[in-house]
Amino acid sequence: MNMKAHDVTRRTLLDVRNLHTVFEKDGNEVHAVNQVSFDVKEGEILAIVGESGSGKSITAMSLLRLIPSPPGRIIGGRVLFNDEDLLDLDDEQIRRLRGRDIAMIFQEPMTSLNPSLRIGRQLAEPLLVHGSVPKDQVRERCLELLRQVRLGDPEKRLDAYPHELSGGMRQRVMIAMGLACLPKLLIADEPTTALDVTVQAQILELLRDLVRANNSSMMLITHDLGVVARYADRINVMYAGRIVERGTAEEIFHHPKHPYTLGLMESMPRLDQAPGSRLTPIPGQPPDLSDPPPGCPFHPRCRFAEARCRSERPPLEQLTEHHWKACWVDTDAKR
Amino acid sequence: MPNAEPLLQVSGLRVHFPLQAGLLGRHAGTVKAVDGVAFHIDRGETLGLVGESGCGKSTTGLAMLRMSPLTDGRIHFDGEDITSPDKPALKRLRRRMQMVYQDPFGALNPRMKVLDIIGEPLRVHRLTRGRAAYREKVMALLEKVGLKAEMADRYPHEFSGGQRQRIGIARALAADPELIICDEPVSALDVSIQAQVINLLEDLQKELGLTYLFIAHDLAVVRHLCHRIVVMYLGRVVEVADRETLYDNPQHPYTQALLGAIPIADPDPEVQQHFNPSLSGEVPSPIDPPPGCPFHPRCPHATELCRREAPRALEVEDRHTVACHLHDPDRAQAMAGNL
Amino acid sequence: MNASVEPTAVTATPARPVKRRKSLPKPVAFFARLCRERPLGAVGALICLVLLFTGVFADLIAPQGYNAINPIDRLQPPSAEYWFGTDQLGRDIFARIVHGARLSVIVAFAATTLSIVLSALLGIVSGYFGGRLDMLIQRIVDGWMCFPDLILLIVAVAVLGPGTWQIIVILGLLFGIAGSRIVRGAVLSAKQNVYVHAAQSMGASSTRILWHHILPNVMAPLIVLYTTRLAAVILAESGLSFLGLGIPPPSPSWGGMLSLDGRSYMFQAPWLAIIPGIALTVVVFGINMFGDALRDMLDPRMRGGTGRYMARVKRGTGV
Repeated sequence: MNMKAHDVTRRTLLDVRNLHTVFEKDGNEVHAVNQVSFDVKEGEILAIVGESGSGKSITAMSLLRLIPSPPGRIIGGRVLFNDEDLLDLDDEQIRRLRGRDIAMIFQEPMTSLNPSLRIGRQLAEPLLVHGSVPKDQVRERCLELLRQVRLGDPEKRLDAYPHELSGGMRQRVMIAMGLACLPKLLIADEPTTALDVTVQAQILELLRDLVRANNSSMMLITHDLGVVARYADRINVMYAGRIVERGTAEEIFHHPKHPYTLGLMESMPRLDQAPGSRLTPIPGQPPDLSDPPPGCPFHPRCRFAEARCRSERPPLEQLTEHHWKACWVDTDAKR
Repeated sequence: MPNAEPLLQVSGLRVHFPLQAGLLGRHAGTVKAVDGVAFHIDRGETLGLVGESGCGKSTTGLAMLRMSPLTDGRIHFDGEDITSPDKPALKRLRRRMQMVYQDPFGALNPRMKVLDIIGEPLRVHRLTRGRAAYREKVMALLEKVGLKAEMADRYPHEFSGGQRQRIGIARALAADPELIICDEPVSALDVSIQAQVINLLEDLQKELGLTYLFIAHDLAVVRHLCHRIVVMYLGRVVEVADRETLYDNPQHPYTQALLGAIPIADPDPEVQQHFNPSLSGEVPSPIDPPPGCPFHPRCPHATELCRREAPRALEVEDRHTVACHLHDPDRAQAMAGNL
Repeated sequence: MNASVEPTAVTATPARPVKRRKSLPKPVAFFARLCRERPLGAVGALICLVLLFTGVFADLIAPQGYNAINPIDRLQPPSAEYWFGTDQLGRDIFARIVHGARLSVIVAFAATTLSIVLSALLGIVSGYFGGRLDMLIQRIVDGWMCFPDLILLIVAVAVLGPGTWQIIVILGLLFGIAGSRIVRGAVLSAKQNVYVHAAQSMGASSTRILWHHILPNVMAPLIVLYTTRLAAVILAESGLSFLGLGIPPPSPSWGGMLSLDGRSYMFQAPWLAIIPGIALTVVVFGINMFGDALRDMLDPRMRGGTGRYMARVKRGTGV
């Protein structure tokens, strides 16, 4: 259940300001993450929603400085975590932070695990690297972690190789690895997209329970609005490398303001709507990020677009305490 | 329409692959990808084929095209038995039945121009004479799927995923087929583009009178597009029903679990109550499946009978079939009698 | 018409606009790229060109031929008159090298072409049609490859006798059968492509599929195979001549020059051995460098990306 109280007095865990990451592509600069600012509070689940090219995954990778350096580089911004700017840390410091304070789990459980090492060895790695558990207790802690992620037969699993486990089981192992050192922030990049829907449901419930139990925060990156609706406290909607709308789950789903958000809602086939009713797709394609359109990046596809949208890029403006949008047009009036 | 013969009729379909292991290729088990499937598709309707990995839906689709060998069963297309067609019959069949693939990037040959990709069926079946007619027909197909005719001279890498999928659809339409098998056609596309392609498929069906076999795992998309739906689990059909019936009144425990596990795009707690991720365990492997009902290891209502005997598919109401002992009146009595 | 054709859904500019420039003719543009990205390969290409040129215009460059015996000037060291010196019969070594180049070129290109055609045929039939035929061919290839190259060559020469055409056929056969493995691998991998499946499901004939969908994917490895085989054939022919099993004297095979003349007069007239040795080294080096560069340049483009993640990053479509 989403927590309704978005207490402003809750401490900010992560404060991202004007993050800007670019990539070199055939001599052009692609602005994959373009002046993105947001925060994550302690104990909340923040969802970043967007389609391919929105920059949501690159945002996450930028936080942990996992951007491959050529061809990408972070050219601006601040990422404040525990009052430290992560972009200022040296390699040694950021390595110590990864896995211990901020952990990340990825979409492809098949490729995230090393196929030639046993599960136990890989699971123990974060524990050993960060020295959070004395060596003789590592195995016990691994078993405990596997039990926490509800993986049946943990002793057998520790000695197994990744290919002996199913996709869902591997993802549980990934989650166990991610949570091993009890990080304050867990970044989950499309953690269930590659899984079957019944397994997906189990994994998401598990993630939510564990994160809440540890009083950690989670940054959930996904394109699936159903997942977001159920688990997210607050949501960032990204398009073409920028945040176009931000708010609580209630605000985003029941009072969406940005035309892109509206478009997403209207173009999805919904189980709670009459079947066979016509979908309203968003026309056109996502923009080429090496040559983005002037003004608002969404304007070529926007049915509310006005003259101003074509030349001036709208900044994020605040509507309520948590609800912000980057749009010149009052979509409520025009609908 | 109800009395017309179905366009496609499948009965007793089994597709088994033997596994070989060891130096001498000893028989190491059998992958029962499809293990006793029966359904039919009427002209002009869209039949959805849903299930999770290992259920055999893709293999079934391939079997329809006769691209996968059958271990058992019969397939009838427009009244004709196509289970083991000879070469000319197969070629004729390949004109009338086409496929749209999941991967918009892999499904088009990167070295061929869009003109030749879409026009290949025309060449293969010699449907046009002369370059001018060929080109004209391809341009017409491009426009039909919502692309500009001038795109014919470009290469696939110049297009986005959604556009490439449209090209794939144009190719499938080139030979004027009657049945199109859509294998997860929108799964690899962004949400906002999915709607474009779904609408296109709908419009084409209305305009050209097409019949679709729609294979997918996304139940929301299936509900939108399909008239009837077949739910598969571990190579077998567990439930077949009309769209409304399936989503409002699912009878099979697996269907119920499947529907309950779909996340709903509305944070309202009352709506979220319908979300019920109760199903535990993993989707099993089709290698040497256990006896009895394929779902019994995960079924909350499993009984001794379910572990022993596979249930029959019975019509529980008009156009609604379920394969479950709980809905089998004879068995239910037997079960009750055993208590 | 269709309501799904929203006017803005159909964008004239696709997602990635194609920058069209006036392009140079293909070989020139290719060579320019080669110089830029793989300078060593460009050097190799130059060497190959020189070899080819020398082979074709041998008569113009050294009109006196390779067998102009001139006992007065025997065993002269390299000088202004005889650039590479003379051998024990007074023949100008420069002229012999030049005509040797022609020999190498003929034998190498002929044998390599034969081998590639054989590899392609075997590899495609085996890889595409699979089944029993594939198993049969592969077992034969396995058996063939069990024997060391040299043994096979010696036996073949013993059976067929020495001579230019015999050498060409033998080398072509040897390398052709071995190379079929690589082609078969490329065919198997090309068969996996969904568009091949699509072509099959629309009723395209095997011929059509092989020509339009499989062969283009096999061209890149075939081209690279050609260059590596070329170097190997030159070395093999030299080896045979060195052993006395190659093309018999007085033909100016470089390997023959090394062994027959070079060895005998190694201390008196070292240039008899050194010059052909250097020629062989340079040519094989050049061909190998060019082949490597070719493979590097053709490979990632042919496969269309360096991998899922990096490919998406490079496309800028984000992850």
